[in-house]
Amino acid sequence: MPDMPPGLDLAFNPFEPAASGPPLGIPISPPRTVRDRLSGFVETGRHAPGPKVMVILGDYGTGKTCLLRWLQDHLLPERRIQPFYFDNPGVHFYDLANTLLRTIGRKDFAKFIWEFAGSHLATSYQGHLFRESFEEYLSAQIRPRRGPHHDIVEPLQSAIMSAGVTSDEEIAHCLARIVTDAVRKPYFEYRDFLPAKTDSLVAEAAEAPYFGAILTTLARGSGAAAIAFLIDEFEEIGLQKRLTKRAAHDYLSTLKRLINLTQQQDNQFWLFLSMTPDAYQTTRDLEPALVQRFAASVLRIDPLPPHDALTLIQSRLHAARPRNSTSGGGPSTGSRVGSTLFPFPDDLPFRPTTRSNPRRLVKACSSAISAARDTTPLPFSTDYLKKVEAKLFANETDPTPDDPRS
Amino acid sequence: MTTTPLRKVAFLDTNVLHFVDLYLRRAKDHCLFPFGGDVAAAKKHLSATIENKRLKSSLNKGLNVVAHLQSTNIHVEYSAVSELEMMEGRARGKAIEKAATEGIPGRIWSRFVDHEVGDRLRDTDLTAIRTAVEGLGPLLDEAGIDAAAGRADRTRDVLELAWDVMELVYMSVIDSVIYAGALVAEADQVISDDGYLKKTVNRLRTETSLREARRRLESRIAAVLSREPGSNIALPDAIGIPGGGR
Repeated sequence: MPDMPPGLDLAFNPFEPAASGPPLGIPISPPRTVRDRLSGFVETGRHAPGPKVMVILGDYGTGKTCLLRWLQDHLLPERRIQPFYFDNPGVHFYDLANTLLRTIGRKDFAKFIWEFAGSHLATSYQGHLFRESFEEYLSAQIRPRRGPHHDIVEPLQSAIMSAGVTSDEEIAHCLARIVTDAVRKPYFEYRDFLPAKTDSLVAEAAEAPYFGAILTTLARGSGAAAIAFLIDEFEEIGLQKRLTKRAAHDYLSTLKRLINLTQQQDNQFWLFLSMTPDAYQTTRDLEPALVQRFAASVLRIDPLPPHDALTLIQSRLHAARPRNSTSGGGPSTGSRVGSTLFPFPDDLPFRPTTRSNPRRLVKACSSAISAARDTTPLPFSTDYLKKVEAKLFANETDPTPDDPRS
Repeated sequence: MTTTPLRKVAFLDTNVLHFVDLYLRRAKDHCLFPFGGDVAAAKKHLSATIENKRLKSSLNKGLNVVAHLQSTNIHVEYSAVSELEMMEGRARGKAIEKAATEGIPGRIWSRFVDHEVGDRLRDTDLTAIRTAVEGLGPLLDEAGIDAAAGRADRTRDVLELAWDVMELVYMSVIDSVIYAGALVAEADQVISDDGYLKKTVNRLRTETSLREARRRLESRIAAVLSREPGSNIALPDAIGIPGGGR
């Protein structure tokens, strides 16, 4: 990374050029109204019945991903809700299962199951399974087995059912195999989650209860009060093309199952789903009744108001100030180091379409700083920033007064 | 309430897939539609440069299908079995190409059976053939056609329905798998150059005498695809090469 011109009063460029997600190492701080709305939803939902689903609605670049990451890093863990983030997952159940369990890792998930099952023994003969540590248990499986394979799986299967993870024998068997096969294959593959395949770890035609069993295992194994899925746009619905009949069915099936799980899991499962307004409309057109179930919990992200645009830039710049910085904290001077917005002028003369969209704003600021040289007049002039914008968004024209973008 | 129209799906049979592949490879090499120029220019090029009548016909068929798919922005699927058929065809062709240089007598050509093919192919030949067939997916993508081979996880559903189809009407094994693939993909149309396949698919869809067979098939499709009972299942119709392959 090239050194910052010293006149900028920045240790690094705090605006990433791609602006496709939250910044590295800089705290995310959503607007207060949004934070309050999300906090209120979680507080209410913890004690009230009904689906625990929130849809975060916004066009591209409005900050949906950052919001989900803020939920993941702050709000949810503070309330002992274990979050799992999914970036553009496919619409099939096994896409989610694959991502979830591969994120956790087979050994860690196997250990969850093993330890939790070990604390609920139905019969004394199973005790030998759990006297050792999990690693010792795995090592013991490497030694030649004296009996057929199911001798190892069956006791664990029974223990899993005794622990109340699931009452379904096939699901318990699949979960037990996750543990017992961890020695032979200490990782998950995508094919592990395709139902009806040989050695599949998914119970056939039982995706929803199987998922429920996984969630129960995760919640109890991690000591969390609940589990939350943060889904950053389902892949098929997020693409700017119409769905085929089959894809539409798969998408709606998965969404329905997830929403049902939020109601069936005894307050243990939450769903936060981001989508564009087009995707929301498409979902509503395909199945209005499904959307009705969560229509009351839609958080629309409005265009960034001027004050929040300033706050976004100020917070980023503040994080990048060198120790001996003279910027920030004091009253705005507008033209000298000392302003919290320096090297940007206080009036921030970007186009309205740039100021109101976090992604565009971050990209424009990133370009302005990257293009600055030792000879660049500071703070950045209006002319300089206009040129940066023009180059960055070369195919666009300024909106007319009637343009809704202005 | 507005309705978001769903995207139509066309399912290609093996021959049509071959025509498309043949044409697109030529189009890419010579910068023809859809890689450059329009359909008329492409037709003119084929007319002027290809002497072999059969080859010209196949290329024109491929062009017509590509133009149709592009203009309708339809999603395309095809069976993995079609790719295997294309592999087998290319392998046989490669063996014949080698045999042609040997000057084998006419009697042997009439008995050009499997071992004649297999004995002339090396593993490097087969690897190259596989690479060429697998290149179709990226080529379709480059041509701006949204296409996919049938998903591997649907294979069991396809075979189940192929059984059901064969119980109702006569089709060859490969055609029953291709048709079942179209049913599992919930295709709106099957594009085929095979007269019998087209006729049978359309008969199943519309003929009064096959009403009971149709009802049973729709019920089986709903069960295999885990649709709710009474769901509206529409069988695809079959069309030939748009423009008649001219």
